[in-house]
Amino acid sequence: MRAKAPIFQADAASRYLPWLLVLAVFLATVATAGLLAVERTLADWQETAPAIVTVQLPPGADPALDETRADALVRRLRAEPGVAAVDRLPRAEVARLLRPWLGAEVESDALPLPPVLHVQLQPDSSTTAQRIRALAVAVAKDAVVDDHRAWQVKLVRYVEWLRVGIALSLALVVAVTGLTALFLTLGRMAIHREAIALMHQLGASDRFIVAALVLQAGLSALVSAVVGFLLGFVLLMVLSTAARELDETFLPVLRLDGLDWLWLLGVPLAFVVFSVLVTARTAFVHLRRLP
Amino acid sequence: MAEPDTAPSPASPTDPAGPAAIVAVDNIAVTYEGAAPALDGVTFALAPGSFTFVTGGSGAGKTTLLNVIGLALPAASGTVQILGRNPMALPRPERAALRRQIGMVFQDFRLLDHLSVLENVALPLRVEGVAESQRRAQAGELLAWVGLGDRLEALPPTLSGGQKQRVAIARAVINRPQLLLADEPTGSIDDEIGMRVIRLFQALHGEGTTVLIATHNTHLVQALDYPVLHLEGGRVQAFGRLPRRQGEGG
Repeated sequence: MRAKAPIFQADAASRYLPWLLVLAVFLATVATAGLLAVERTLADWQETAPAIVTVQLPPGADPALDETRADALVRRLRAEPGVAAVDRLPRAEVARLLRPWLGAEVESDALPLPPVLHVQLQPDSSTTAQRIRALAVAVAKDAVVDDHRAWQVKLVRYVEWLRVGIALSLALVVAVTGLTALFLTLGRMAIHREAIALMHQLGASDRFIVAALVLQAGLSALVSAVVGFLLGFVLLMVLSTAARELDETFLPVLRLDGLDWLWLLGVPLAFVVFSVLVTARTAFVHLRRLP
Repeated sequence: MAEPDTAPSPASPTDPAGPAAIVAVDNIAVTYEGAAPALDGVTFALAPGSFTFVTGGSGAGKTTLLNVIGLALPAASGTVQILGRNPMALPRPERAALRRQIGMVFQDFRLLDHLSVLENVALPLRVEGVAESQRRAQAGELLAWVGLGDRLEALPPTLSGGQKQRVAIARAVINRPQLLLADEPTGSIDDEIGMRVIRLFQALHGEGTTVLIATHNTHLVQALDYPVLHLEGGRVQAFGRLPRRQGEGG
């Protein structure tokens, strides 16, 4: 006798489910990765970025005077209540930022570069960009002050909508998976109705019949989930590699850290458990119709 | 076929729920949608260890009655007591357990084509969680008893009608049910094999199993001196032993 021959024969529905689950888990893995990356980036911005103001002092004819003005402004700003830190960007860093506009010429010592200060305000500071501007103008009339908070607020709002969009997409994938499991279970029960009726008549409990149905569906779901996850993982690795080549100064790069990858590992497992639960619940409800 | 007399043996319609009745049916009715009642006011009882035929023409309600007693179909009204319990009042797990004490041989056999003969016969043991080695041993022994010891690994589609019938019987009795129901067990097989099947039922009856067989085979019923429950139009027309013809012994 074959060991534990399945009571319910493999059927067309059983062959269909695995491919749908591969697709669902692939989409869910990518969507979850997007969601985690957006969450992390948003948290980083909200923690650090909102309180940075940049001050640029246009260069004059005398570089020594530029340096003096910059040093004086740094001292003045550091003395200002509510200012957490003032960092002057090194010339090389300023040159790097300007390179996309000015090309290799920017490396020349002959080209005057503006001193640039990053002023980090304390999170609960009441100091405004206007106050920083007033201090800067007092030192150099033509000082330019950029308040990052204005575009940061817009960017954060955009990313929050992006987060909602990804979460909705993920919810849709979950819903489609649930409906797929539901209809496939009903289909399988219709295909195997005679075998189910026989097992019921032989005294098999609902739990026994459901276990037999779920065992087959669960095993194929597990294999599909692993395949779908691996496909998603490969795509994420490719995107991650490509992202490393981006300059984060100009484009915020979405990143995942170690804990995020662990969360991602839960995606295939969650989908298997979910589809098994839907299958079991559907089968139980359907079996209740038998006397 | 001669109508059976109405002598109350072994249990009469007037005493449906005798204390020792293994099956007690009281005034049950079943109606399929858009059709005349399949059963209407059926009342009778079976004593433990009895052997009874259910007879009647096509559409008399024989199969419906067996399905109700076998807990495959609920009665629309009336009550059924099986082994002293009202199955419809039991929680589902207990009802399933009660079903395991009822062996059922279906007219169309209902074998699973993708399972071997041995696996088909062992299904009730699998339901009960019996170990595979024990299932194999018991099913093999039973199949040898019904003369199919050499077809253990065969698949049902390769069997003849008589062989399928014997596999179905083996499956129905493998867990030693207290009540055995058979629906037209000789309907699709020739007389010789039919008698062989009946002898199997008699052997099981000899071991104490209560047997209820639905059949339209009048020769079979007349050849054996067992009580007959005769149905017509879903109603009990008579219940008892057939009158003995003059010159017959006993």
